[in-house]
Amino acid sequence: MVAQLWVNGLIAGSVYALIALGFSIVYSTVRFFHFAHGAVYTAGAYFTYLYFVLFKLPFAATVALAVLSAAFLGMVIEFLVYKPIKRQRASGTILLIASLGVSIILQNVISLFFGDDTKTIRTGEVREGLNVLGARLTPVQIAIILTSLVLFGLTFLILKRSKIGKALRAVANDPELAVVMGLNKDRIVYFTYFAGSALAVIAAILISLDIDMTPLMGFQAMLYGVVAVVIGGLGNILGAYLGGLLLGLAQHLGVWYISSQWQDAIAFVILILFLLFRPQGFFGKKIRKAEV
Amino acid sequence: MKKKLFACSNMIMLLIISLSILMCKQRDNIQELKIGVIFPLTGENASYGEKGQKAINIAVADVNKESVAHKKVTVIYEDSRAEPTSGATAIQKLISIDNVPAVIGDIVSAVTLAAAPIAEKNKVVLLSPTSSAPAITEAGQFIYRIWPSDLAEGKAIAEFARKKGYARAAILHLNNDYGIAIAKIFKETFEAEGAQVVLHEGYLETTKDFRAVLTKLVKENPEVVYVAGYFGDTARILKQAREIGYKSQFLATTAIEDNKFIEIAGDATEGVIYPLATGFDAKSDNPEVARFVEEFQKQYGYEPGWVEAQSYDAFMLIYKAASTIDGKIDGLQIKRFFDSMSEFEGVTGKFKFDENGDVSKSVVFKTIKDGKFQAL
Repeated sequence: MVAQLWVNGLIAGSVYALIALGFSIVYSTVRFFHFAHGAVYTAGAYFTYLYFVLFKLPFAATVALAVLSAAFLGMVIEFLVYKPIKRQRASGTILLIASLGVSIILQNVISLFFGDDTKTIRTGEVREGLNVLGARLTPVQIAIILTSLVLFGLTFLILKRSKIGKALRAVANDPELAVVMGLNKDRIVYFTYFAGSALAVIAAILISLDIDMTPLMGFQAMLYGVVAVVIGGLGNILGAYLGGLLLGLAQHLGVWYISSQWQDAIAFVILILFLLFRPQGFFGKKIRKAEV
Repeated sequence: MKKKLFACSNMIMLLIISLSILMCKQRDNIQELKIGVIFPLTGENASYGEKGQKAINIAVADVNKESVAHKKVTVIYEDSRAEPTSGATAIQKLISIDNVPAVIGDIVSAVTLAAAPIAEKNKVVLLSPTSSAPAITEAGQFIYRIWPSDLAEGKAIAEFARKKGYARAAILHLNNDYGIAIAKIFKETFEAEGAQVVLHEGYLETTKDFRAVLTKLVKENPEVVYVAGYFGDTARILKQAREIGYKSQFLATTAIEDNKFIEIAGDATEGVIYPLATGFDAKSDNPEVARFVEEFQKQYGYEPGWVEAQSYDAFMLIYKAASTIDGKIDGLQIKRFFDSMSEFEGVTGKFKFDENGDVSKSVVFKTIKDGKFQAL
């Protein structure tokens, strides 16, 4: 029973973690809350539905195409909306509001094309999960946990080792200095939208396989993603991943003691507690005044 | 000569006056009847609203076709998104801008309850095709519905569970007016008969992941689980229960009778038992029902279900009331008709309103077998 609880938390947490990781990558370079990340996540799920169910493409091709389409969508949002707004020297708040607007527009476009009803890409019958250490897990759920871990590892390697990863961190640390040093900031920002959106889409595909999809799915996913990012430490890319895992576990272990209608409340109580007592997050270092 | 001219002009005057009176009368007769509809047309529950809208469109086409001399009917749709606040705005608009004497809506109880005080204050009839919340009984003098209160459905399924010999039940309910009320009635009825409810938990409409509460079910191990929700959430619960290997008899609400339900949860829906109190049977050989089903199928390509049938009857009932009224139709006149009418026979059977504007219909139990909704 206890094993099942931990596994439940881990499954939910692995998805939150991927969303938070993508969100955090974008945030680290652009420094505003890209709420449309949630809509890109939803779009990813519906691209999957489009290619897999409507166009009847093989699953591998579907995944590749869905990831590319939604990652491209992330870049298009930057190009068509954020960039022109930034050119007017708008503040982060304006960009945040613009991102909410984009998010609602995208969600409505999805409703328009696909309808508001629940869509599913599940094939075959619903089977009992496999018994792993006393907990029941379906193959899809195992895939969720493993994919999430592998992507985390991959992101870690890219950030630490690759040239683009290092450039991304340089821009995240000090955008002006990075530009002075000759880095192409625009290119790096586009890359962060591409990579961040790709991570969100993979999370969306996994959740669509496990549960199902609705046009509103992204909004709540985004809220959980933001909470995870705050837990992990704003701007701490890898912390966001662990923040997601912690949030999933806290929700599922918490519901064991109180009614499940409070699942959302648990997430936001955690958010407020972190903002009050540890605004730098679980893994962030406290910034001293002198450093600012 | 002068006299003749005078008489002639008099005649002409008389003709003009009588003609204009006649014209007036004529205009009164083909007066436009406007009926408002508030249904969820976007959002998670839009599929209910779309179904109702299709049925009403068929009904409108029917009456406008045959009633040239009668009243021309137009229907004004407003979207409630299944949200109380949007529903309140929608009915306010229908009453103050479109001046409708009657409103059909909503499918969802929470919205009907939010719209009720506004209808009541403006003396506009609000007729819900499917709202089942017990609170609607007391919602006002102008509030009617042609679906029995949850008191009937929740009570019936709890008695059914006791009759089957189940002594330990768990209740999972959607945390809104609908879920809370129906779960409460189930609990009261079930426990009054000496049995026990071992777990009683609410969940949010936005919940997709039910594994935490299902794990609790595994621990409590009840003999029967009553899920008081809509089809989407109930489907997810059944699917995830199957995945974590939880086996128990599931009971559900009328709301699950939707093909989407089977599409979402697949074979995990097999064996679930639910009550149906609509009185509509698409396979009925009643000529009126057969005609409705055939016409609907021709237009939309699928067999209508209870939302379609109830919405069709709601419209037809208001139309019937309006066609008995001469001149300008207001809410009070429609209310008088509803209060004094004898049995109305629609596609969902025969019914009449009691003093609270409620109807009672007999409950049948159904299940899902081989991927189809079937009588138990």
